[in-house]
Order: sequence, then structure tokens, then C-alpha cells
Amino acid sequence: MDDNAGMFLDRGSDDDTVLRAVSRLSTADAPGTLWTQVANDGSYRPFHRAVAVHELFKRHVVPPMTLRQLASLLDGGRWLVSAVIERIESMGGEIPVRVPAGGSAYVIRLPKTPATGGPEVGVYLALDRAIDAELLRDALMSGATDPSVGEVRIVDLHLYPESLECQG
Amino acid sequence: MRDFAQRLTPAHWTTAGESTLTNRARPVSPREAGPVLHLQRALGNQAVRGLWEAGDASAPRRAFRTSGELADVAMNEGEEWIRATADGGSAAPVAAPAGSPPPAAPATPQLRKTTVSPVATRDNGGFNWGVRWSIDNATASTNGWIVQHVVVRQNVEAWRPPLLPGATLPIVPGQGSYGGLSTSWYPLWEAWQVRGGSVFVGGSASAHSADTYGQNPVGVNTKGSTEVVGRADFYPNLSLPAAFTVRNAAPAWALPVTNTDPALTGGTGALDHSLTATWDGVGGTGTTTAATV
Repeated sequence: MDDNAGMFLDRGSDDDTVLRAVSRLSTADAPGTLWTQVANDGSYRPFHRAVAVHELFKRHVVPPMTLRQLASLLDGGRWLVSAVIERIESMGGEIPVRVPAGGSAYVIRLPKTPATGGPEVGVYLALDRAIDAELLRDALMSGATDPSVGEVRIVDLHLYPESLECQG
Repeated sequence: MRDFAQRLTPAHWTTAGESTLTNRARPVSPREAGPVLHLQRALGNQAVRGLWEAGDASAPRRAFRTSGELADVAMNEGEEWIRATADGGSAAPVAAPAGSPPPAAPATPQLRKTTVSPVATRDNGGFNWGVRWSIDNATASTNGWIVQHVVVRQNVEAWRPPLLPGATLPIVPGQGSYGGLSTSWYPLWEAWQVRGGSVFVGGSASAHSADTYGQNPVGVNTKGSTEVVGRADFYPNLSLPAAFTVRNAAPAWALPVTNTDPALTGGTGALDHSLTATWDGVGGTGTTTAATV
């Protein structure tokens, strides 16, 4: 196993070590399963899991992927249980994704590790159809009962922070 | 008495071994003044001026005004007359000679608002309107922040059991089962960064697309009005106060925002950006109408 992948998978790695490992991992060295392995494992710290989700989306989610395809990539998406999903309807500002006519926008906020002061991690998604936020959660966790929901496409996404910088 | 000041074209500004004059006042060193002083002393002012006016290429390319006073006078790129004294003293602007074209001030960057998503409404108070900010007269060196102050006023009532038909009571949009913009989010100040004349979503790398006023329907059996009152300005070279933070939450979402008046000064000209929506879903059909400024 790549040293950096090993560092990333180590539950004892501190935040800086995790970020340093991420910055040194090329996409070729880091298949989606590396990130889902951490994201879906509740024994990792919330920030560690959030970094895994961030990198999974950054490196492997490419519009116009369908929700079914994304759900397959997320491999159960157990991290979504503790995430907040909000449909964006009322606003007096700007979101960093473009929503097509008839589409809708969402933000998925990942929980922070208490008292670590790390950045908040999340993702904005624009879909080509409007669906309820809980239906989106179910679809991403492979639990959607309506097959047509799986065909909804992600037309744009934006991660925050834009990049996870290693301080060391 | 002051002599005339020779207006120089840029081609006249440089002589061998000298740097091109820029739009910054530059004192003349005694060394640089040497050849002119030498000629001045040997031939006198009138003789040197005669060489100059005759277009003699060997004449030093300096204009001087009164006996004993040497001046560099140049019309720089910004059309500002600059004089530097021969003793190396501080530079000071001098008036352009009579008949010269008036100095052209650089155009001031101005905020512009363009609708990119026309107002669309939904019954019972729903609306969506997108505008895009841009900077007129921007150059690659235009930097700063666009800051918009926004307040929302809700004046909404609703019918619900056990009220008699047609009777209503005030409600608070955004609370309980009612949709809409919550007045508790306001007032706010939100910001877009301008870098190199282009506008970005806050300080991010994402290009600005649209500042959106959007409200989901408040609810059935409601009536009233929603006013979103905004006023935006461009502040060149502003360092955004630390009070502005990105919350990734309603209503500003990805923009840096503060609820405390940043008391900014130095804007280049504020623009109104307001919307008023009205509807009656109690005694009417609930159709929403919207007016914008």
C-alpha cells in the first residue's frame, strides 16, 4: 500500500497528517474505495470522514452523473446519516452552482469534529429535477424506492472549502 | 514672469541615456541638469530655446522656463503636468498652459446591475430574480469588493381554523409551517470580491453568476407582501472586514456576510436592488405579482 494511503487510513493520524497525505495522493493512487472506506466508517473522527467525502466528490463525481451512479460510488453512504441535507429555496445571495430550469439546488453539510476548529466541509449540488431533501438522502444511500429518482442527474457541484490545504 | 512650458510628446521624453518619464513626478538630479545648465550658461536661454524650436536634434530635450530655473515638463500618460525642480526638490503639479486640452481623469469604476434571470413568481408569495454584478470602466488593476446591504420586510397574514372565513391573523414567514424569507436573517451585508476587474462569489475562485432574491411560497391561505430592499456599492481596494464570514447557509449561502453594519466608506456609487411581492391567497387566487427596482 502507498505510504500516503496508509497514513490516510490510519485512525491515529492527526488533522495535519491526514491533509498532508491527501495532498500527496494522486487520483491514480486513490481509488474511490479508499475514500469510502473512511467516509463510511464511524470509528474515524468526523473531520477525517469529512475529508474523505470531500476528496471522493472532488476526484470522482463528474456531472452529469446520475444519482444512481453516485449512490454506487458512495457504497451505502453511511456518512449521510449524520450529514445535514437542505434544499435551497429561500435566498438573498449566491450559491456556487448553476441550477437549470426545473432543477433544484441542495447543500450537504458534514459534521465537524467537536472543538478542533477545522474548516466546515460540505458540498453544493444542482440537480436537473426538484426532489425532496430526504428523498435525495435516500437515493444517495441506495434506498430510493422510486426508480425515476435514480435517473435524476447532478448537473453541477461545488465543494467547500474549495481545497483542503495542509499547513505542514 | 513665467515662460511658456513646452508641451512634449512622448517621443520627446527620452534622450540618450535617460529613462522614459513616467506618470510619476521625478526630480531632476544635478547630474542630469548638467548638459542643459552648461548650454544655458554658455549660450543663454534664448539660444537654447532657438535650438529646441528649430528641432535641432542635438538640443537637450528639456524645457526650461525662467532664467536659473530648470524644469522637466511633460505631459504624462495621465495627462498631468508635472514639474520637477533642478535642485532635486519635491515635485509639484503645475497648471497646463492655456490652450491645452483639459486633463482627462481616469474613468471611475462603477457598479452595474444586469438582470440575468427575469422575475418568476409562484402563488402565495413565491419569487425568484437573478441579477449579475459587473464593474464598468474596470481594468486589470481594478480590485475591491462589492458590498450589498439587504433588509427584508414581511407583512403577511393568514387564515386558519378556527378563524371565520376571510378573517386573518399576522404570521411570521419562515417560521413553523410557513415558508419564506425570515426577517431574523436581516439586516445583512454580503460581499463579492472584484479581482482584476472580474467579480467572484465572495473570495472564492468561482466566477460570480447571479445574486438571487428567492422566496419559496409562504403558504396557502396567506396574503400580504414581502419587500426585499437592497443597496449595493463597489469599494475599490477594500480589505473586507473580518466580521464578514461565509456561513454556507440561508440567505447569503456562499457569500461572506455580516449582520453588523461595517460602516464602509469610499463607494463609487450605490445601486438600488429591491423587489416587492404581493399576493392574496385568502380572498383571491394567491397569484403573486412582483415589482423590481
